[in-house]
Amino acid sequence: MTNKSTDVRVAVDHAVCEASGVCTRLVPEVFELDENDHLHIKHQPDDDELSHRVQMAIHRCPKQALHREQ
Amino acid sequence: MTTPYNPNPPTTLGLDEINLADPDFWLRDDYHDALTKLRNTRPISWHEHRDSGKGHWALLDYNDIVEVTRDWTHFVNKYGTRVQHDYGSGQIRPGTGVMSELDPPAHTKNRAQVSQAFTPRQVKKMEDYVRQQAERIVSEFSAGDEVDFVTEIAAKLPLEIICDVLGVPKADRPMLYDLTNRSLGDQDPEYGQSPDEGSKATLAIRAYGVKLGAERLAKPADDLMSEIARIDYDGQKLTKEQLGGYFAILAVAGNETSRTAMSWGLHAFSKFPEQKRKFLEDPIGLGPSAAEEIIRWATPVRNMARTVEEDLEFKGVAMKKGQKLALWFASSNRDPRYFPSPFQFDITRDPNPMHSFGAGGPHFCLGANIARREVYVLFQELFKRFPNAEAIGEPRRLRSVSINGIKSLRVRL
Repeated sequence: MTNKSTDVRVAVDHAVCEASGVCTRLVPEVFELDENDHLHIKHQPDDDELSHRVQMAIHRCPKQALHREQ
Repeated sequence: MTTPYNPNPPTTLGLDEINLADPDFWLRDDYHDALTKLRNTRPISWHEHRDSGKGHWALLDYNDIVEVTRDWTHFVNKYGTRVQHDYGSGQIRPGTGVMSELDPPAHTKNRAQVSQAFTPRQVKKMEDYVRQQAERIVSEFSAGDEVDFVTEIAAKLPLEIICDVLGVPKADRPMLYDLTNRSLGDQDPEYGQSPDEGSKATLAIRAYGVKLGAERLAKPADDLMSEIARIDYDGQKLTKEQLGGYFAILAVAGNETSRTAMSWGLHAFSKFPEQKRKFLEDPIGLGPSAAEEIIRWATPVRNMARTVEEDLEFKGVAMKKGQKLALWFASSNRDPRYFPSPFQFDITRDPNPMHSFGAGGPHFCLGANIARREVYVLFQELFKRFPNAEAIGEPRRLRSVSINGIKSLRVRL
């Protein structure tokens, strides 16, 4: 394994996000929509299980508004 | 003594007898097992039937479906999304010319015009209202009543909600409900003798939308149709065609799908009484995950279609420009790799990466947040008043390759 799970950071492109809530449902520990439909990343994934689910959320975002950053 | 319920009886069909384009295939009790058999052997295969036009590539594998959904340059929506319709055959669908039948970048802009009405925040504001409607609908009955759950309960809630969102006057709702049935039931003889009947109904819904839009443009009200009528698209107003399309896709999609989920949901709660007991113990806490599982279990829309935009090879299969594909969510939603014990109805399932709202591409169901809320609020209110409500007959199913519809389901409250 060359990549540690802690290397995966997720970021959101607010101009693209339409607040469909797909990610908040898949990984509520990480993603949160506030009262104004603004997406917040509460906490970056810090274990393999969470990283895996964040990866799924990135992949399943209907607008492809989520991406990994180093 | 009744025999235990088996939601997945072994199929009696041989591999070569499985024809997903045949609407009668979907009326069989063993279709799930046939899908499993086909998925395990031929995850991509060609299917033809006279009721479904020129045939299609059937995609059954979870990951293939995700991949195609996200590749909108090669697998496009603009030639239609009902696999039983051939492009150029003159058949009209609710979404023809708007969102669901556009591809990015036109789709992105088109959808953004209405998506603000469906965000979690907007939908959360509707919660009390949805609950009042659900309460009103179930309060018309008494414990022990025998009802047709589909038409007397499940159909009413989503119809009221989407009509209120759009601004359809109460008096017009029964007519719209009937037209919706005809539009989506275009392979079921009960709703019309030919697919043309379906197109006629769809045109009537679109014409109604044009009329309502014109009224709202002249005299705006606080509803989505007023917003849509005011849309300015690169300095131009929507055409009548688009106005009718917006209205029709929202009215039809917001209607039949939730009704189908709720009806299969009640059927599942009746067949899996331990799940119902669990729900009754914590209806608020389990609401969201129960809705998710009900919507997976029901898979109201069995497939969505795409069209191959250019000759290409996908997973070793040569596909020709213009050929149709169907993404069979009915298959991927029962894939044991993603849903352990897929034939167990489990209202605590987590994660539940189901495909009923689409597999994550740009056309992901706009109404997903409303649908989820409608489903769990209905069961909370229904079981609060009628904890013993259960199906006393088997569902009478819609003949359709695309909609897993139920026409009626006897229920004792």
